Amino acid sequence: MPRRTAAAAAVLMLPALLWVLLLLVIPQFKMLDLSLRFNLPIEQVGTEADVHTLVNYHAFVTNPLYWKVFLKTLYSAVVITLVSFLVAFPVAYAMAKLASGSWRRRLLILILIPFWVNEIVRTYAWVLILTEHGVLNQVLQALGLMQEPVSHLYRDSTVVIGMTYAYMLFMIFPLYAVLESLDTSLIEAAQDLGAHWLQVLRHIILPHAIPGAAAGGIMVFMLSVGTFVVPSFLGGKGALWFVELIYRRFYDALNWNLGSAFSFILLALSMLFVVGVLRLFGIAVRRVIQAS
Amino acid sequence: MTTRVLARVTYLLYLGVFLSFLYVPLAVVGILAFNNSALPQFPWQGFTLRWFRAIAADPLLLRAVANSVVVGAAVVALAAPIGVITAFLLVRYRFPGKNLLYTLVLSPLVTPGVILGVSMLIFFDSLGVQAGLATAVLGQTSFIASFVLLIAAARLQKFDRSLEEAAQDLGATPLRAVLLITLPFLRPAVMAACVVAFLLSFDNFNTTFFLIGNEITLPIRIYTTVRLELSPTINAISVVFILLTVTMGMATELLRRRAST
Repeated sequence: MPRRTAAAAAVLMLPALLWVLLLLVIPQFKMLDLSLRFNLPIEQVGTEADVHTLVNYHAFVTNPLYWKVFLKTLYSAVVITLVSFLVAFPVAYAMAKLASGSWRRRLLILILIPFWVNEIVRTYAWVLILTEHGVLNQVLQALGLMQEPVSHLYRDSTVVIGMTYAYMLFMIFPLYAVLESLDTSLIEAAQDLGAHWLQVLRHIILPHAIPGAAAGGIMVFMLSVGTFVVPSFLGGKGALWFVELIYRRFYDALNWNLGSAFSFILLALSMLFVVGVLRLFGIAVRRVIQAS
Repeated sequence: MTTRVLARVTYLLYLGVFLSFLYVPLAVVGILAFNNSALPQFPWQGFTLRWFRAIAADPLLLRAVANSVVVGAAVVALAAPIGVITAFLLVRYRFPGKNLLYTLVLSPLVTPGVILGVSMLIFFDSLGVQAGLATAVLGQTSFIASFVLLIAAARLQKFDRSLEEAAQDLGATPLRAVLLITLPFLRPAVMAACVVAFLLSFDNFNTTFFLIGNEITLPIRIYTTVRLELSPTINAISVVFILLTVTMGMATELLRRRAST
């Protein structure tokens, strides 16, 4: 590299280094470090009592409440990701391959508009529908299907529906992007050769859609395990989801060390999921990013 | 033939159900913002704009909106240069550790926002920095710069470098060539990235929630209000919020389309 180019690269590197070190790497190492220490009274922090320990991770492993909340959050996120794929795929396919020019644009805009609406507003909408005197009960009562109104809030299933509603749109656009790039003549050729539509789907469309599905799946999964708003609105005050557990360590229980351990577990889970999905489908990160 | 028609009808039906599922909840929020009833619920009691007037009378809500605008502007001012400069670095230079840097700058896109917030809360606290608007700005910048980077890098890859070389042959210094030739080429992408950055900041809850301290932004204020009580004022502010974000979303879509030509 000529000296001038090297100097230019060094100057350009500065903002990137500040960004990566001060906002990402050091904070996350600090979080890991804090999770490996005892929750000491402030005057003992930094003294010889402040040593590294696995006590917080031990607490996570041995307390069944924490485990149950973690597994429920993980399981729900997997379900939401799969359901989002099943719901989104036909819509993305319709946009990419079935709709003609003007309809495709209209459909795209119709799906983009709710995508731009804030998650909090979208979740609040479900509160208005599912609450005791909400829209759903009024409809059910008007139809004579229900006598006494009961609240549909504060159930885990409600939280799962709310999360699916809030995050499934993140599946549509990556799927749409990959399906649009699929050469339609491939599908037609297979059909001309007598392939059943299921065979076309299995051997031509789905393999081509994998990077999009992976990108969408990673987004939906990450948003689902990391959500705070949806369980908080739809699950009620007693609902325990993993991020709520983290929040409580920081603001109610004032045990930042345990909170950091939970956060690190969540971070590790998301990283594992991303790496796992990429390995499973044998795709490079760059293709996923291009699709999303 | 009839199966074809049946398949088509099923498909259209499915799309109809899907779009209703998307829009009915939003319509409920919107309609109840205009209902003359003290609670955000049916039956319809007549049209009113009083919930929109109530926004103007709510000092906390106004403060939240003002804070959101300030935070958004600050995030744009930070994330835009960081993202664009890093795009230059990654598209144009080879250096040891480039792949690692690439992974790190894109990692916020697949990190739960809560983690970004918590980790920076811990870091800033260890430095004795109090959580507030400034820490929220830094927290949001940590992932919004990644979006700017992606948009700028996509455009930069399409740039024909012989144009810069031509400028240099005509006597421009390399820096001048970039300023006069490359940056104007990047302008639509940078503009799109700025609107995206503002929108993402304006919308953000997860990261901001942990870093905002005792201050409020619009999403934070809406969140705490809903936790306390249901009120049609929330519907009214939601309608305003929807109009703002959808307008910004449309603008990014138009700018991006221009940037991709």
